[in-house]
Amino acid sequence: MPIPIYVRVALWTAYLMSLFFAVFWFLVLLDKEPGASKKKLKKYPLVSIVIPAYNEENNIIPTLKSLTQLEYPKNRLEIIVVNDGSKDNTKSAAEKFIIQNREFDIKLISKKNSGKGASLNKGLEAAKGEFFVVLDADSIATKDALMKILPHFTDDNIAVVLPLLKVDRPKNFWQRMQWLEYIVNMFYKKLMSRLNCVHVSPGPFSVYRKSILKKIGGFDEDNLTEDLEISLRLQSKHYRIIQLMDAEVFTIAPKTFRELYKQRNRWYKGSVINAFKYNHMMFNKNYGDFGIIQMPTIIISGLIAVILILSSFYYGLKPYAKAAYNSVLIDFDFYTLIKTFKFDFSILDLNYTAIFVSVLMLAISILILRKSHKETKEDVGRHGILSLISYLFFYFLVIGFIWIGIIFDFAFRRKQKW
Amino acid sequence: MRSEESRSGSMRTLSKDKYIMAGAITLGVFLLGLFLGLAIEGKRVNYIESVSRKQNLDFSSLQLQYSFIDQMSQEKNCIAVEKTFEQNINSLESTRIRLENFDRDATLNKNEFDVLKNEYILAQIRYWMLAERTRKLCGSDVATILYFFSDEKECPDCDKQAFVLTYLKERFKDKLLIFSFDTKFISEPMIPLLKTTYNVTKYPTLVIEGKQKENFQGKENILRDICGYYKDKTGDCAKISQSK
Repeated sequence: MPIPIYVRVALWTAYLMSLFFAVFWFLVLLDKEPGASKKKLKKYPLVSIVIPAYNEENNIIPTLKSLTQLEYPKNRLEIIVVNDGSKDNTKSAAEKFIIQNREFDIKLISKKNSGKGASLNKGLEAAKGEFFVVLDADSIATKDALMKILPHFTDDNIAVVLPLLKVDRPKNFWQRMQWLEYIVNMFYKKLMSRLNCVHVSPGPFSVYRKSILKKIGGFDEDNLTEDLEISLRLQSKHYRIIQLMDAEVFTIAPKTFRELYKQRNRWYKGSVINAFKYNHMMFNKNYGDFGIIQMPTIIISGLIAVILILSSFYYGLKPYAKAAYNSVLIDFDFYTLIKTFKFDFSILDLNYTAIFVSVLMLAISILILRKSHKETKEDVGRHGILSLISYLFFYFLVIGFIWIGIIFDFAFRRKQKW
Repeated sequence: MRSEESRSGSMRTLSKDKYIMAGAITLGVFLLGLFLGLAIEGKRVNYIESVSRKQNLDFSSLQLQYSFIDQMSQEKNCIAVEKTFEQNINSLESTRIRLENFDRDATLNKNEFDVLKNEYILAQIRYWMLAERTRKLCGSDVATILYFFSDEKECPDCDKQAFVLTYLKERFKDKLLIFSFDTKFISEPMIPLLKTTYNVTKYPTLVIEGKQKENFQGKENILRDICGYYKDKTGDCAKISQSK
């Protein structure tokens, strides 16, 4: 039975676009790395670290503790916990920690629940530092993170420097998938950073130059993904965002599919909404590579994921559905079919197009996995071959599934819950 | 190439060379795939052509065998020749299905595949007519079904029908001969000729021992018809005659 022409066109467009993106970023990788031109820190600038916390009684203490262990002069650090109207004991836990660690400058600001963007702005108001660090309460910074990040602010135009983000001690299948995803993502963001194309500054330990943050008006308080919005706004004003590969920060990843679905539904939905909000940059060469390749990618990557998942289901399940349906017609007499089965196979029967595309995709994926692990200084087999295989052959279905959910949500105008 | 410091103010750079290069490489890979695909298509055409040459030879030989039996009154050899007939027709069917699949994926060689399909339609008709003649000659207890099918748009049930027919063929083996005709193939004058002969207007249409049946026919329907025709009512037909 012939495949409808529009399905063919959609599939080939998805394949060719994926290939184009892969080749493009591979060419970026081939370019010689610009020499690490770090300034030595001559003095220690005052740094304000803001922790927006909503119901984080379990996470807030380890996060605060990791900050007290930072290799940085205590008197040049200002830690601000913004309690966003938590209903649990976040407030008392933070208060207790403050009393126990008098030698640190830790402030606690409590306000009515009004979202993460508003919490960050409250912190921004109170912050006295030259640099402003956002640290989600579920994330842990390594000791030398700050000392490794600050020297990269070599230029007044650099607004944000991002650390190498990894999943904190993955314990189950979903976390191991995300562990691999983050590794690949970081490698990709490093490449983006080379072309000044970074489009998101995630919550765990993003370091901002405070003067720029204030100049552009702080965080959007009414946004699904304020970390993405602020980056798009910075890009629209031609500031720079740099991704590092050596300052490590660990974040706790969702443990279950439900949690993952909720998180990604919000992230991807936020990215679509914000991409439309800043659509004047889309395909606009005044914004350089960011306008030409990165803005379209935000939308296209979701579309490609949906096309791939739908075609996988179509081609993967349809023959079985048909066989099940047909077997009713012969009263489930499989015995005859098996008994009379003749092995009639010619090498020419193979679907060479499918083989060509799959081998190419697999080769590129393996190359990316290897390169990512090398760049992030991790061992490819760290979480076992099973994790790698599931990541390669299964995880894109999960992501595609989430995108389909988003299309449904948009189609039926479902309200977003945080 | 740029260092982290070299960019300042609102200057944005565009990696034009990389876009062109990436586009060219993507196109190159695509073309490579296309050429490989065409090479394989060519191989497929050659394969079917050589198989079909062999099958034509087999047919001539079979025809000769029957003429020989007829002329020399060697009816005792009928069983052996009928076996050859069955083998030939099975090989014909499996090549036809393969050809159908190749044709579906074909790009530039569509015409070559269509010519081959045409040959297979003729072969089906030849075998069918030979079967009709030899049945009388050898007095064999064989039923024939002509199956007229079309594409999915015109005939959503053809898939089901083909599945049921294949199943019945597996059950009855050489006692059931099924000849299928692609009615989309109107460039072959035999197709409209057969269609008017058997008054085929809807798809699927089966002609079971000369009786025309429109629309999808389930396993039981077909069984009833062919069992009514068979002299030997054992096996699958035993159940049918009991239930009557």
